[in-house]
Amino acid sequence: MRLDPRLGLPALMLSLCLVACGKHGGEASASQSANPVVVGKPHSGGELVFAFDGASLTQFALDPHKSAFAPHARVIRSIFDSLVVLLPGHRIGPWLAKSWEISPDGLSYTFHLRDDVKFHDGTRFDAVAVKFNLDRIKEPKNALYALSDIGGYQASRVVDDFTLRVEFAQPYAPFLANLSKSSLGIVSPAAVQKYGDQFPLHPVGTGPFRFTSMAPGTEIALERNPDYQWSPSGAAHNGPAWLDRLTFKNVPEEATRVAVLENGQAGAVDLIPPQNLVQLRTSTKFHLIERELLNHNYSLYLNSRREPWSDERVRKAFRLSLDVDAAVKTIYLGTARRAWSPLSPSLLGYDASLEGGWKQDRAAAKHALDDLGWKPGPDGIRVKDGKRLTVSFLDAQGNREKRLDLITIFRRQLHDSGFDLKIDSESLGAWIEKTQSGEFDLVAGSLFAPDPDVLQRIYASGRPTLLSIFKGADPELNHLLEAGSQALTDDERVHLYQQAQRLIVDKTYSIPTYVLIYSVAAANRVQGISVDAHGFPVLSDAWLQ
Amino acid sequence: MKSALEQLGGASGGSLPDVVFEAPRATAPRRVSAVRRSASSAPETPEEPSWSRKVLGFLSQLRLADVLVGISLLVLAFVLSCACVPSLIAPFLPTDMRSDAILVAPGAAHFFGTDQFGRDVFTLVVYGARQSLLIGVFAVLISCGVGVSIGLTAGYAGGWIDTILMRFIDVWMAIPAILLAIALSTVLGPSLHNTILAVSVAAIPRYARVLRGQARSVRSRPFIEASRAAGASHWAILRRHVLPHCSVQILVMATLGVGGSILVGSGLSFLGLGVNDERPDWGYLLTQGRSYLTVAWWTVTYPGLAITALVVSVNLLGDALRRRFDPRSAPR
Amino acid sequence: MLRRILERVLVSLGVIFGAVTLIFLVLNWLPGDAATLVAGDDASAETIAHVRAKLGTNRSLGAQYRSYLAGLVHGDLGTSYVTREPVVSRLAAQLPATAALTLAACSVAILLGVGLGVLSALNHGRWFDQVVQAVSLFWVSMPSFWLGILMILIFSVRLGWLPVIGDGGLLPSVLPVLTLGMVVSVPLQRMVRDGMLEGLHEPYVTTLRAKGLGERRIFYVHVLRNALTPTVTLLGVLVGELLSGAVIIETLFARQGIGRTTVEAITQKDMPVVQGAILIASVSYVLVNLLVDLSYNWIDPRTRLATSKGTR
Repeated sequence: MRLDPRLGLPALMLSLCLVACGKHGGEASASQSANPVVVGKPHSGGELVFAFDGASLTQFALDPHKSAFAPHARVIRSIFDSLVVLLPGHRIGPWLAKSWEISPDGLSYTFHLRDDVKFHDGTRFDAVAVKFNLDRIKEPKNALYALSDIGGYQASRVVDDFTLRVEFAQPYAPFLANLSKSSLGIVSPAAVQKYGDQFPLHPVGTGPFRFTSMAPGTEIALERNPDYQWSPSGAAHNGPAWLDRLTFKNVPEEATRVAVLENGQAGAVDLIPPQNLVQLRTSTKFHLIERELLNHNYSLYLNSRREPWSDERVRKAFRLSLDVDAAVKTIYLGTARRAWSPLSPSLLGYDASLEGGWKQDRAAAKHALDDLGWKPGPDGIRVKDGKRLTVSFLDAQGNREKRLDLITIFRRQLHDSGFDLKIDSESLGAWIEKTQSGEFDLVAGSLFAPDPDVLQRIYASGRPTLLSIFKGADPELNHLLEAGSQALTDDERVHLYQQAQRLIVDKTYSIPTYVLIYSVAAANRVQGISVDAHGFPVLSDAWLQ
Repeated sequence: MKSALEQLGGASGGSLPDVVFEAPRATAPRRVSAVRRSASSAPETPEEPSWSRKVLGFLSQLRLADVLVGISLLVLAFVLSCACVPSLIAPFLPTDMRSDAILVAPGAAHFFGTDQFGRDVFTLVVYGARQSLLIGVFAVLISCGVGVSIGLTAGYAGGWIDTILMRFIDVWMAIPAILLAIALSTVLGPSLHNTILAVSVAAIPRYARVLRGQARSVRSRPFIEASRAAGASHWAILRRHVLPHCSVQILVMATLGVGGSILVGSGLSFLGLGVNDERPDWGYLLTQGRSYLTVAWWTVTYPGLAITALVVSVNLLGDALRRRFDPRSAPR
Repeated sequence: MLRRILERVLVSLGVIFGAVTLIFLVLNWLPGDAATLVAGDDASAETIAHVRAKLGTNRSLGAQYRSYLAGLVHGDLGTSYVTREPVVSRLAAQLPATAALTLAACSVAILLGVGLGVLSALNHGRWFDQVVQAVSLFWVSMPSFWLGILMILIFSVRLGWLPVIGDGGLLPSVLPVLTLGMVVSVPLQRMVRDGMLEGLHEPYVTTLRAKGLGERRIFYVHVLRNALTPTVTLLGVLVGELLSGAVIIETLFARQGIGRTTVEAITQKDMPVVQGAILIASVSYVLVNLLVDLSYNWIDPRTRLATSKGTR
């Protein structure tokens, strides 16, 4: 077999350096690549095939309230609109709601809605529809994921056709930011009633594209919503989308996804793997759009309900054994930044003072473990009272975004300090069962969210949910997070969340790893794709040359 | 100059010549041709041939089949030594991650290049041999053991025992093997021995079916009846007469099964049920390398070649065994 | 004859029933709880209990099994735990893709297998035969997904001749069908070739020659027919292999299909879907083998003779 390696090492190293030099320390705002892009005047027409990484799932659940899965949310964003839009700099702008007032006690929100909006099925968007949406999410029997986005929501009162008052039991500061999430996109009440359990297969919203068909697991076909006149503030243009048709193709294999871009089967693809990203950055045929995803960074959680991780000193020794910088650089080839806080840098309240706060110190780690009675055994793995220092890492998502590769490097680094990390890849069912029962030493995960309140979902004790993979219980942290979700001003919230972040990092409750940059690569004939403040693709402004 | 293949395999003129991949049932013509060849390849001139002629003569007498079996044995021996003493063969350690040598193309320092961790791919392939061989060999031992027991019992006992066991095997075969293996490895969780178990459970019916047929044909032979009459127990007859009669068949099937098991094991890895170990097996390496396909073909090519080389060798050997011992056995 | 068919049908039903029962038992052993998975991030214990009741997974194993069988009798395969979609429509949406893939691959396998087998037998020992034997040895010794990956790399990425992904349509199906068909063709090719070589030396061929029949006629009509009987039997066994291969090919080429759906359902413990898929697999297995049985009569005149005399 004579296959020509398209990319030798020198080219790779060169682009690595370019990336490292170019991206140093900048605020992670949207960065268009410097590739020459021919820009013309936008016009309508044509079909865009967008190949996305939808994992190897064979079902698409296109109910915004029901799907917590980021790839599906990326599709959902084109079909459903939200009441408000998140703008850069933590500002909230109008969308389906023209304006709103918040009562001084933070307990009630009055929304003034647009009166010219129609759902794809022709029914009217109004206060009753919004009330239906919120009540639908609140009903526990519906078992909707969006429940965690509405906090202490109590009830909605329809003031008039286009005015709605939303009431809370206690203040819920993240509400507006959450409303801008696709998970609180507004669904058509008539369609929900019509399709019932099948609504995720027949999504009906008010978005710039409407659903036409899907091939389970492989393709979702959308077409332009010709009536669309309600683009969010900050959009590149107001009015119907330029594209006639928008087809999402699920291509979970990294190499295949890049191949369909290169051979023209897709006009744009997302989540470009690092090894191809460095290559595409210098390409003249394609251009890149990259933006940080608002996220609780992919972090490692030691099960502090289990021996020996309940001891903060062991957790610290574990962390001191890691060289996160080196691992992130190796695996992401300089395309992702290393994370210092659980929160991604563009989130409200990010504490930049945590950056550079600790570094790998193998000697200190070894010393600490020696002191605690964990002595190296014959194979280098430490032993105490006959028990080996094994760390069973519970995983269910495989090597998505090269996360397992990252853990593989950590395993090697930990081995040098005498930890024996074992990777336990389980089915999702088993993963949930084991995280719920606490039958693991280490898990890792990320959670996209537009508000620092995401911390509460993970670290608050006393709420045994699927997301409580952090098994510790810290009253101080609980208090900070609760106060943060109820504080009425941003300044106050920033102050509380910075304390919370420092606490989490100080006590080694979790170890943040990298900041995910969401990337889209498009052929030069495809123009106008952007990524919104959340880090989700916006395709209503896309057009074809 | 004729091609080497023609010279080695097809030099015997009019009748059907012998070839590498001999038809297992076409025994009669082969024996004829073998005799003919030895006659025709005798030196034409009576004088002492030169040294080079001697070598040529020896080579021309070698059948391609033998050459291939020889190569297979060499490959197997190499894989086996990789499995036993990898540290003597591999230039590096599989755990060496060199951050200054990520995705290096094959060259003098790294014959097979390096992967995304900066690990030497040749080293990984050498160290992966053990896991892959373990999967192949143990899966066959288990599936063969169980399958043979079921098959022999059913075939020898006949009657309702046969009916029940064979219906059970039918049910087993009606479920696609890979789905059964996936379900089992999901139930059992990821580890080398669970992979082995999942692979072997899926392969049992094949052995049971063939062995049942064999046992039935042996049972009807007169000497079995004679042993019975002489007071031998069923167990003794099974052990002393039936099993030995099927041993060649078992040996052939088992050899061929090793390759199949390795392939199924690598398929499980591909579907995300592999074991992420410090010394990954070939299937896992291949699966891991496939996202680098367009930028670093070597990470996916060499582990795949290793699997293919091993399975080809094992299959060639299985074919050879079949030809050697049991020309009339049913092909796979 | 009729009795034999009836008997076969009854046995087949038994096999299908057994397969469904077996997988039911294995699946119950799967870790996890579909209700927790479906209920959502912030679901309370109450919500989970409610979902469990809705799915019916709070009942005893026996009760679940009984109600599943009761549904089955009425043609109801239940509802997917995860998507709340009737299993019948979920699988019906995926079935055409898998059926098309496996049927096309099967045709390729038969064409390649029988064609190459016959040609190899005709050219027995010559270079053509040797190349075919060597190449097929490699086909059958490669992991099928590796073969697929290499073909994508060569034909789609480097040469750009074929699209990489796509459902249905001729061009996007070329690589998946070829990958699957090539692997399955090998045992067929060997069986045909060996069967023909053996047939050529059977006494009846000599008789036919003595009767003055043309070589061509002897070869294609009598010898080929003789070789086809075991080949068709093998085909019945290979159905399982085709379905197994489809699981991998569908994943590799990101196609829709039953195989991928089933794998996913297994990891989510979506039992009704897995059971439905196993039902389809076992029904097709049984059907093909029934057809194989019946085709003996048609292919091999000797069998027909024997059956009519009642010696079989």
